[in-house]
Amino acid sequence: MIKTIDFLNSIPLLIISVSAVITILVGSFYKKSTKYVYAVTLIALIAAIYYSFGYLDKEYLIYNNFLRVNNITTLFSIIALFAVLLSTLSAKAYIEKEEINFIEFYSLVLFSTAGMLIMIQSYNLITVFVGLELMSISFYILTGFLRKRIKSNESALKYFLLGAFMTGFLLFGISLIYGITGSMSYANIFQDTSVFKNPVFLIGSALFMIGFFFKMGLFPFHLWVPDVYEGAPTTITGLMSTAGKIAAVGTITPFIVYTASDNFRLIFSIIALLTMLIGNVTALAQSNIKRILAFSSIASAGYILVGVAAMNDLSIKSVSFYLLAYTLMQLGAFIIVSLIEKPAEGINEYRNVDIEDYKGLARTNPQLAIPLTIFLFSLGGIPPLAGFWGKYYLFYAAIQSNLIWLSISAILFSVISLYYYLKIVVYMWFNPPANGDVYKIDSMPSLSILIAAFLTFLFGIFPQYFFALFKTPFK
Amino acid sequence: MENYFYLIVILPLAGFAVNILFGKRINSEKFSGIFSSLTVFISFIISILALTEILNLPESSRIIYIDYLEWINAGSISLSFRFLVDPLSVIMILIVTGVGFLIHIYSIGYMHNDENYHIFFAYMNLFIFAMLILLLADNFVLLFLGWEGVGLCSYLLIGFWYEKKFTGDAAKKAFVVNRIGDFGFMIAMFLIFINFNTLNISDFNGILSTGNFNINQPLLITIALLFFAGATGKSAQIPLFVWLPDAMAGPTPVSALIHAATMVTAGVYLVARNSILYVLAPDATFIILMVAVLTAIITASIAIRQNDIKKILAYSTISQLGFMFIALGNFAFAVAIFHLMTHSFFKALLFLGSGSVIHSMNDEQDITKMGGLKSKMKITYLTFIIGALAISGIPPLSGFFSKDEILYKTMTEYGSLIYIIALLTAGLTAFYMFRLVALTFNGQPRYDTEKVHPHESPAVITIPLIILAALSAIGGFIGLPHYLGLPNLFGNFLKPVFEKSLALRNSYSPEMVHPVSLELILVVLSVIVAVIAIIFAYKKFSGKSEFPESKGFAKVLENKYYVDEFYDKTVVNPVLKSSEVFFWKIFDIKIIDGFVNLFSGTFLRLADSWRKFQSGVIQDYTTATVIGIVIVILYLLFK
Amino acid sequence: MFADYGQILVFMLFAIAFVAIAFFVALFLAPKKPSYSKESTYECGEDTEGETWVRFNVRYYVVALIFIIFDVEVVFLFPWAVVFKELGLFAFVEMAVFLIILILGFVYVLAKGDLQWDKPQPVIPELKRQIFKVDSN
Repeated sequence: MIKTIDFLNSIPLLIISVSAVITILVGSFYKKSTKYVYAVTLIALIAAIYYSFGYLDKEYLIYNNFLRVNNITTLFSIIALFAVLLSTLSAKAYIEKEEINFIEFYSLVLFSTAGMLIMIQSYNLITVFVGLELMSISFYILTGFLRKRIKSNESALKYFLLGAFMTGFLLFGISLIYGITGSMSYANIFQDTSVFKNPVFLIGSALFMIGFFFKMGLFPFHLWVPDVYEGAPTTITGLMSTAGKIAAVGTITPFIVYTASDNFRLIFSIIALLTMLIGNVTALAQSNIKRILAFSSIASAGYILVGVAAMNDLSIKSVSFYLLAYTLMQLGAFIIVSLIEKPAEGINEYRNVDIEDYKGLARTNPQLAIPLTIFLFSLGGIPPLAGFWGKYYLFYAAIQSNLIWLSISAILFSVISLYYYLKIVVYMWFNPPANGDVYKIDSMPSLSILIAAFLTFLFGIFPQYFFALFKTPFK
Repeated sequence: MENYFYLIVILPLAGFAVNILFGKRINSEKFSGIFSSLTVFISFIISILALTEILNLPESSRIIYIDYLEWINAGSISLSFRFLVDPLSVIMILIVTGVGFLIHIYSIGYMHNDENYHIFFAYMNLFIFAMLILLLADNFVLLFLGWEGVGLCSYLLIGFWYEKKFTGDAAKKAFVVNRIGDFGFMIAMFLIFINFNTLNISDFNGILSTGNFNINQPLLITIALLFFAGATGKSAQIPLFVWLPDAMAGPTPVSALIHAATMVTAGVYLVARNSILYVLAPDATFIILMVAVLTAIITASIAIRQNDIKKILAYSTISQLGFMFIALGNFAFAVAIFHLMTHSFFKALLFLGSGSVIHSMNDEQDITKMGGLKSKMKITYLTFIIGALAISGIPPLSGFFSKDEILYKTMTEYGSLIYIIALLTAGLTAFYMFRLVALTFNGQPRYDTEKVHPHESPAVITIPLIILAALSAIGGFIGLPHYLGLPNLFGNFLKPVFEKSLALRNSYSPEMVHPVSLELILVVLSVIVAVIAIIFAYKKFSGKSEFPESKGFAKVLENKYYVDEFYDKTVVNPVLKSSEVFFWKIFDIKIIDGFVNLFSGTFLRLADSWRKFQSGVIQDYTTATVIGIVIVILYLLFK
Repeated sequence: MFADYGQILVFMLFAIAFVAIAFFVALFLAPKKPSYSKESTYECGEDTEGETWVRFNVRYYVVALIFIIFDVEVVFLFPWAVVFKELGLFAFVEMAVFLIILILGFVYVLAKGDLQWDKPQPVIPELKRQIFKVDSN
């Protein structure tokens, strides 16, 4: 039986879902209302973030134990909502430029956000699945949103096929877990700790987690990432690579925390190691900036898994801090890429996304080059930017769990990563301009860039501010 | 309530930001100069408010901690932006903002028509900001931040006229020599953190004053000496004093503000701030005393044979800093700070006066090519005389009170030998100062009267001179010696800061009671020495017009004891040689570059081959995925 | 625990056996008299026309999708209707919410005009550049 109080305890989710439905309905009747829909979307996201802050120190099980609200889920929700907000702020300019300024864009973003919130807050395997599908299907459509461009269609199809393929494994994992424990609810699944040793349960939960590893882009499930990220509209790429990842990490968090067993530590460490290796090394040979960022996103997933593999008290904190820092810098970089990109004009490839096009950017467009430099430095982990502390805490967590070999190799790999980040910086600052183009920047994208750059600095200088959000100890 | 103290620091930073960001766009000398002077002035006003707040507190609890922000919290390191406001730091910030403000005003006139006017003021404001951070910090890391910040500003401002090669070299020299000292500072911080598990200054001092430490514990001596190593760099003591004379290549206001009045006193402040540490390590303090005495006498003797007006003042500054360290070496912390204050007044005055002279002489700095300026620059001359009398220790000017107290402490702590050296230094000080005065202002002009027309400087320059002259004249009255029977306001105000350390000192080495007559005798003696030196210098140089090549010891003095040449031979050249032959050509190019290139080349080749995995064919992707899943399952089944 | 899976195994074996036996029985029992119309492709009794691999109009899929949704809806409605009396008001409200959400989707489809068969002027993706190079000579 659903109680009225449940609604009060899930205001952000309700705001997002209701506004998603409303926007799509309004949009279908009033075709010219995109401006208002944009405003409604932003207001809904801001309101959802605002209300989320109220749940930071709460602890509820709602909707018949299907969803759970607590410090950690709220924190992940806030980071995800924030990522969506930043990318939506800048999206309008981009979709107007690419002439895909349809209302469905915003609705789909909101639907995917609702999916993320459900995933993060789920307390039941069924809700996990529903949320995942809601998010994924929205992403499939958004990836192919540039309907007239073959690249976009191709990547949408690839993403959909592989996503559906992986969903099969995910469902098989869920069914195995159900078969062993006889329940879908986390409350029952994690009740009996003896079951964690059962190989069938282990395989089930491994398959379950692999479903999300796919979404995070971990080796060897990462192969879709560069193709899809390159083909998707650039703002959507930013959204997928940040918010999607946050949701995936947020979903498997309870599994990691509850079943924190040595069974997975080695395999996680190896996957993390290989992911960092493949992501960072392959990025060296790329020349398309969207692909470079895609590989950097793969490498980041590897760093995150380093913190996950640590499986200690610091894990959740460090992972969530890194996710926030990563959101700021990765999304900021993608927003700038989306601003520099040029409209198609009948061409099927994305234009002006090669790093050659970034030559001399500092001279022609310093207002873009400076924040991009900040974001790239942060991605490379240079203090005093947020990315530095993000990596620091992740590797520190790993060291606490005696995974010293893993932290050392992670540090070495992030040294390698500097090569391709700094290559862009060198192109921007030390090369003569490739062309004299001065890019138009609307107020909204520049606002989101400013916010991201400011927070990159803020959390780089005062990482403490973020940890103040951890109100209650986990578990 | 005290939260507004952050404005003291923030305002100069705002001045810096506005000037560096918009200075070029505004392109108005008036705006840049007045805006940045104003920020420093308001800081000064707020510092006075801070002083009144401190004074309102009962004497025993005159200390305010203000936590602003948590900064870094990693592992067991926990740092915050925490200000420590006590009488010591209040006095220091008053000096910095007060003198700093006057020098800012002076710079408005002095830097007139400079191409990078706004940048100059931006750097000056940044310097004030960093200096205030240094003074108000309550942890060593924050202090170090300010410490490095002032070093950076010093570097930037020495090299401000970067078109000339020697300014760039001087700036580099200052920076590199300072870094050697900073190394000691950092090691000291690490040692403190390892052994005491804190980096907070007040916590560290609190731990030391618990009384659980033996006198002259090796650890404490090490830390004390390492801190002093940092201080020798910043405060230009032997062996790291060589950068300060060269630093005179910068604009004169910079020499006055940074290289005379404020930054170079940071070392004195650092030692005074950790007074308990030095009381617990008297052996280290004795080394400070020895170094300081040597520095004072050697640099004073160099100064008597220099001809560059600013270099003379630079050596004088080093010598006076030596005096402050002599006071510290005698555990007379309050006296050191007192001398620091009076010195900042009269030395800033002297530098600004010399700037006024240089300015009117069309950038001529050689005093052998001056002379007879007395009548042409009345205000400059009079104020300069006041400054020179003050530094020579003529009563009742400020330098007299502070210097005599130092001399007295020297006598009572370590006896007559060191006292005599210090007294000799004081005599030399009077001598070279009046040699300078006589050659510059008296006698006949030795410059080309056709080309150069000396004139009095404008009011923006003379007014700061007059104010500083007034301060140099009467500034000493707040620290009257006790034999006069009047209260020593300065000493009483600083008392709570050094109370614990002095009590500790008394516990193992009780202070002896000396008759008042001893002090009076010493005072008379030092005044007599100073007066004789002044008259001698005046007589000798007033009418002098011939400057023959110096011989013998005079030549050694002229060449500054060949210290620079010595350092070149023993340190700089071997390092350069070995760098070129081994470290660069073999170690760097062959080994390091070779390794790096091998490493990066390997990964670039790997990248090139691995990109082929990214075939774009979805069947391949699913295959890879399935293989991955199978491996995971097999591992879980058979582990 | 695994005993439960045993039942499933037995069930699966039965299912396979059932189909296989049916095929085999048909193989032996059914008379074999092939003729033209029996061999031809079945297309609602009409004669087949053209190739099998034609592209269907995309609107078939839209309609099919909507049909499936409402088909599934009915699956939910049946059990609900059977026990409706016992469940009372709450079940009614819940089912109403469920239906409203579905209807909203339907409204969207209607408003977009996706159910109009003779949709005027669909936007056809333009291909200005050829993906595959075609040799002209």
